[in-house]
Amino acid sequence: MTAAGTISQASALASDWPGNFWLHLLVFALIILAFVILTVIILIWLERRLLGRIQVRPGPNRAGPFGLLQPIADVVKILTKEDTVPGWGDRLVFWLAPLVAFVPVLLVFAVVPFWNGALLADLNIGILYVLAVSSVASVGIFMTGWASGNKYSLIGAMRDIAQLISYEIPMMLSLAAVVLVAGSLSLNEIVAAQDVPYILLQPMGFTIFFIAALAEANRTPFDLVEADSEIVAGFNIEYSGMKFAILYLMEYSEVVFIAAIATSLFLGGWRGPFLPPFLWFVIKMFAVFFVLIWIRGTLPRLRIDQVMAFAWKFLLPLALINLVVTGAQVVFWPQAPYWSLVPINVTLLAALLLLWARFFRLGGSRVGI
Amino acid sequence: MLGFERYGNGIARGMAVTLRNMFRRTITTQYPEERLNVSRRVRGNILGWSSEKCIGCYTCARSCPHGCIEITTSSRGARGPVAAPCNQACPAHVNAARYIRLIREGKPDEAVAVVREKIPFPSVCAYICAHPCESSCTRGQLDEPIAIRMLKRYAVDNDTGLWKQRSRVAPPSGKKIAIVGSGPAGLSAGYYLSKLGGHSVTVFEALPEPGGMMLVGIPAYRLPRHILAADIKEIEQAGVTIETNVQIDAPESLLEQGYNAVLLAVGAHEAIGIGVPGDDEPGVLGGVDFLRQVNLGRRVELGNRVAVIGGGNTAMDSARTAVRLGAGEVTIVYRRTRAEMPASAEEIEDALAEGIKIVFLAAPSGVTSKEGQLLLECLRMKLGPEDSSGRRRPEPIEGSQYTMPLDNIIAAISQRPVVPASFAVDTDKSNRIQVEKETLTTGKKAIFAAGDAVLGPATVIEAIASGRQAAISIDKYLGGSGDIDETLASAEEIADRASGPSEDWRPGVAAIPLGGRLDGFDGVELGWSRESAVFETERCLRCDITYNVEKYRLNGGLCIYCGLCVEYCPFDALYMSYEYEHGWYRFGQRLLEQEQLLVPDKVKPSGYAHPEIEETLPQQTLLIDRD
Ligand SMILES: Cc1cc2nc3c(=O)[nH]c(=O)nc-3n(C[C@H](O)[C@H](O)[C@H](O)COP(=O)(O)OP(=O)(O)OC[C@H]3O[C@@H](n4cnc5c(N)ncnc54)[C@H](O)[C@@H]3O)c2cc1C
Ligand code: SF4
Ligand code: SF4
Repeated sequence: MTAAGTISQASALASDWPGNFWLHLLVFALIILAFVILTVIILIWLERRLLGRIQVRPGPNRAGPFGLLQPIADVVKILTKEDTVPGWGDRLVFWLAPLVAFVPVLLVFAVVPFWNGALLADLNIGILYVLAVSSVASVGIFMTGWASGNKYSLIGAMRDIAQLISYEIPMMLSLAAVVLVAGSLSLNEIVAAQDVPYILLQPMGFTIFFIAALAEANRTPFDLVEADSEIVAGFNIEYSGMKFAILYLMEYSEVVFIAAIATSLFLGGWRGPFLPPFLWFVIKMFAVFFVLIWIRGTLPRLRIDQVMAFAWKFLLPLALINLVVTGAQVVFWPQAPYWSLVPINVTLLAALLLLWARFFRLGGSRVGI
Repeated sequence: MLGFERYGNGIARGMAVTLRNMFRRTITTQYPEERLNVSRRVRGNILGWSSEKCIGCYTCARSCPHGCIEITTSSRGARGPVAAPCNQACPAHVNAARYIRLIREGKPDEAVAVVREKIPFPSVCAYICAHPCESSCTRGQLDEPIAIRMLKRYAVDNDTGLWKQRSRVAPPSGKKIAIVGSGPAGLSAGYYLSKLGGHSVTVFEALPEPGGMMLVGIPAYRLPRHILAADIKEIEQAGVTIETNVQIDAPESLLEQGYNAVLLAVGAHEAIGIGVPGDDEPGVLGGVDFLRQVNLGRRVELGNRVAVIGGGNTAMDSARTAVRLGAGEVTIVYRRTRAEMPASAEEIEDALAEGIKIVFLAAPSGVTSKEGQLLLECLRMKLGPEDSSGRRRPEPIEGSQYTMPLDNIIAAISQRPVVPASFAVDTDKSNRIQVEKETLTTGKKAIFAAGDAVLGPATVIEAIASGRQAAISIDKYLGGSGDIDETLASAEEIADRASGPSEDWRPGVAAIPLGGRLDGFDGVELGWSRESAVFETERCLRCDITYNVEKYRLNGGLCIYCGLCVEYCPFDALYMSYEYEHGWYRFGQRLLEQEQLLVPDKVKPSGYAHPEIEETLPQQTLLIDRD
């Protein structure tokens, strides 16, 4: 399978649109910033409204029609809060940490294609870049935990690191399988190669990716990084004002980021009939948001031992099997028609999940962290 | 180990529940406008159920947040030992539960007959009754009460006059009765005295048209005049003579003219002023005076800016009438908050929808006039401790005066009866006629009193009930039996119940669009179609019918002992003990043998049913008072 797919090169946006390399950088940097912030605002509103509905209450409904202005009111509230630095903290690191956490998340969007060719940099190592850069955010989170001089912050940050390291591995393996199928590391080309969305060709890959991404973004049920009932608010406990706002923005940008990556790698990105490509991209992203919020409104939080065990004993082996199976399919049966691959892979997913569920067992002995 | 199957199943079910929740109607408490008080109740460990008291109404099963109560009942029902709460709550004891069933069976005419058995104003009540029945409806504890008034409205809109065939008329008794005042109290008493007592009744009315407050108080957009006229015509056909434009000053003289008894049903028609300096400036109107003028078709000059003082239904009616007369800026000034407003919630909503502003926590402190405009000086208020009526008393905030420039002020605070000294009856300080409670006799021989004149400003249905009571008492006084009951509906056959009550909420009520409302006095609310009405009746729990309970099970594994079922059961059929440890032991032990409810040997019912022990129980409120 080649990366070119059936999309004609003519419809692709030129790589230096709107005409000049530097202009391209500038325009896309602005587009990305605006896109991320706007989406985060909508996402926060959507999340609160939907969680409200799930709990049979209306959710924010006072600021503006349908409470649409609530995120703005929140921003104003947060920004007017007193900005405090804990006395025992590490001042410099405390100041730097939110930026170190937020910037990498923003950087990831450089390789996300909004439609054919419309991205800041079509890196030929796109996926590698995504994985590498997004992990840096955890350094920022760890810095917040360290600099706050608060044990709960530190525990939260430690949990984040532990979770990240554990889930990075199944996530990478699942993405490796996607790369095998698409034959490219560039996100734009992977989208172009998806004549069938990879969620169908790679159901197992998607499942693993999605779970791992939930954990990386610290979303329920993996939100024990900020488990109020255990560690008050986790890594951001000492933060207020603008710095807290950036951390908050970071958390939600991570959600936007996993939605964007899931859309590009598994849901066919900007591809789709009738509607303009950009719209397809946004629609799919919001579908992912919806599922994320739905999950948040339903599942309770896991314990740290459950989280760890789940990554190492459940996801990792499945991801390995998935990689081997996909590799075999690509090598021995490169011309396999979709109508046979899709059912085969879906059946495989179901069989493996059921099988592994029988092996999977928690605890047995002491539990760490 | 079936780990995944179990967890997977759990996750899938959880996701289904949350997805379904997204489409449910939301519930919320809007602090501080609504304050939710949850009564004191008991949590305990022994939950018991009494088969004698249970009527199989399903209330408990539906109240349980975990769905752990399972009931199976027979489909054949029989009349239970107690009347339904709706029936009990009605001052005139109209059997709502029964006519709801008749509407469900597609017999609106029979339903009207049931209503007619108790009141002569079915249509009026269908439009404007204050519906105390709905406030006590069992279903209201679960979600929303049955829309009893709207169902009655559906029935009267589709009446065929069946009740007349079974109507009973008593032979003439030769006695003459005079009734002063043609409001609901006077006309109801007259109707029963004439029709079932056989007396010859004359009603004297000071105004040019009969109806009392129903005519000159309640505006036409709530009670269209042809509806009122139809009910009054029926009363006249029963033999009551109404003489309008006759002001009665001395009831004694009526007795001298040959009447054997006199009933004073003069209502409460004097508006109570604001009681501040300057409240007699021209441009300051009394609420009921204003409404009376408008309703009698007289011209009332209103400016553009109108303030209405008060928070009751009279205030709402005055404000909404003012809007319809063309006042552009209508403001209601009320000294407490919305939670304490006596006006009904629907009325407040409608008023707000029609563009009326409500200023809470403000009270007038003076009126002055300058260059042809009125200046209303107000003081801001704050809520203090509760007074004897259980509402929090407003207290003025020092130095918070502000003035509102206005063209008119309408004082709609309250009303009191006009009882001229020439009546020579005892009155209390609110001018209410003092009567003997049971018989409604005044201190004077052969003179009785009923309605608002006795109760102070009340409601139509209370006035009707009072009129019925007066009719019984007068009939007995004149040597009759005092029996004014009649059977108008066919004997009830209780149909089989196919299933438990429906899970839905009330269907919406259509109203004429806002645009068309404000330039006229057309009835605002539109009636229900047969579909909506039947849909609503299916929600009724049939509290007056007993179904044989074949199975009553509580899933002890799911129950969290929240005590809601005990609280919801309208018939005290459930109880919970508070012997925590003790109870647990006994309950736990036997739970292993047989998974069913146990009856403890000492029955200690919840505080809900026993106010006298409530003091000792822990109190729970959902919201903490913050101010
Ligand atoms: C604005 C307003 C809105 C209301 N809305 C509702 C509502 O929505 N629902 C509800 O249930 N209730 C409502 N009520 C209350 C209800 O109208 C009254 O409680 C009810 O009408 C009282 O009936 P009554 O027969 O006691 O007196 P009234 O209806 O007041 O009748 C008394 C009659 O006696 C006449 N009269 C008085 N003195 C004499 C005399 N000396 N000689 C001859 N005739 C005399 C009067 O002219 C009057 O017609 C409302 C009241 C008001 C003021
Ligand atoms: S549920 Fe039905 S019978 Fe019971 S109180 Fe309400 S209307 Fe009456
Ligand atoms: S609420 Fe009471 S009467 Fe109704 S079914 Fe339950 S136990 Fe029986």
